[in-house]
Amino acid sequence: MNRPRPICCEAVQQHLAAYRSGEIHPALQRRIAQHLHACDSCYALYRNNQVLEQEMRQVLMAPPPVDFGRVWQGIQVDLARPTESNPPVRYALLATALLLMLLVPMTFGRSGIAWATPPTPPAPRSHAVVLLLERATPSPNGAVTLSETLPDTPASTPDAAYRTESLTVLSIMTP
Amino acid sequence: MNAAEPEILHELVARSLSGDQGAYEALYTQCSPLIYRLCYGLLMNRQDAEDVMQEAFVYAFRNLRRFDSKRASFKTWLYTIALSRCRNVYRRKHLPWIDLASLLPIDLPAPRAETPEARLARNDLRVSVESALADLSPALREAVVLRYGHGLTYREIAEVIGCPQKTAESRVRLAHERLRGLLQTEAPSLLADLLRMEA
Repeated sequence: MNRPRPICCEAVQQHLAAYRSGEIHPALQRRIAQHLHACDSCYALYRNNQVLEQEMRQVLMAPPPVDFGRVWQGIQVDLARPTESNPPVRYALLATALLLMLLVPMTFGRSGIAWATPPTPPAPRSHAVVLLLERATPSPNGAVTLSETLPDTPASTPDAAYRTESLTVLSIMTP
Repeated sequence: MNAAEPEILHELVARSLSGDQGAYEALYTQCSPLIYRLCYGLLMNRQDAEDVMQEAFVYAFRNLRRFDSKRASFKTWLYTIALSRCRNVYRRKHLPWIDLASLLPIDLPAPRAETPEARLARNDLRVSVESALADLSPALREAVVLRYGHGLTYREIAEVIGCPQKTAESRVRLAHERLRGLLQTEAPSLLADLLRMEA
């Protein structure tokens, strides 16, 4: 039978816990056994871990005593209580509430929803000029008297251009 | 689990699902010592362990229909439920561990023969191990508790914790390294002397 291939210390130490419980492939198990036989430092680590495991088992297997009967009574009381609603039901309720919060303002009044009513653009100023001319009363000497005037507009606004333009139209029309 | 066989547990589950109230109690009787030991090992506090055990059983009994014996054994399923509740306790409390190490002398007397002093030294080592276990991170402690407190295989540990088997193995190995380091800091001669005594 062939001798198993040698294995390095690092690999042995990596598999020590599994080696002790026999949870590794038999071929690897043989290689580790051979290494432990020859390597003092790995064998010391193996023994060290063995003692540590024994102590851990002792600690972990003996927790302080507990009254299991009392806990069983507690479990029965809890089981007798009505169950909470399931999480999917809770999520569905939350989603419905959110939906209502969105829909109610949209249905009643639409206040606070900016995109619902876009602002109405102002009527073109040229329409106002035509209106003024229609309402103007011609005098016997041919002059046109405006009973209404265009509202004042700042000079820098586009409306000022309309005002200037309308006055030009009036001066052309008057003989 | 009083060494209950998986078949017995599955039969009890089936009886519970068919409405047999006694089967619930039998399931509890079979599994509660194991679950309490798991919870105590992870939380190191009797009251917390009791509370978590109660919560875990209430959840398991209410959701018994969801248990699928094809996917996991009942024991593994119950471990998973208890572990997840223990994790909630870690998160809630950030685990205020009692630092037993601070109560220990720095260098403990070496155990010799089975004299009263030797027995005392062994007890001291146990306290040191308990303290060192408490100092481990939750992930490493989970692996060690399942491995040495419950004798689970790496495959079962991986299933309960929800990680690959290799990760479970490396967590146990890291826990060993960490424990050795902690013990060497707290009680340097104890482990070596115990080894010598056992040789």
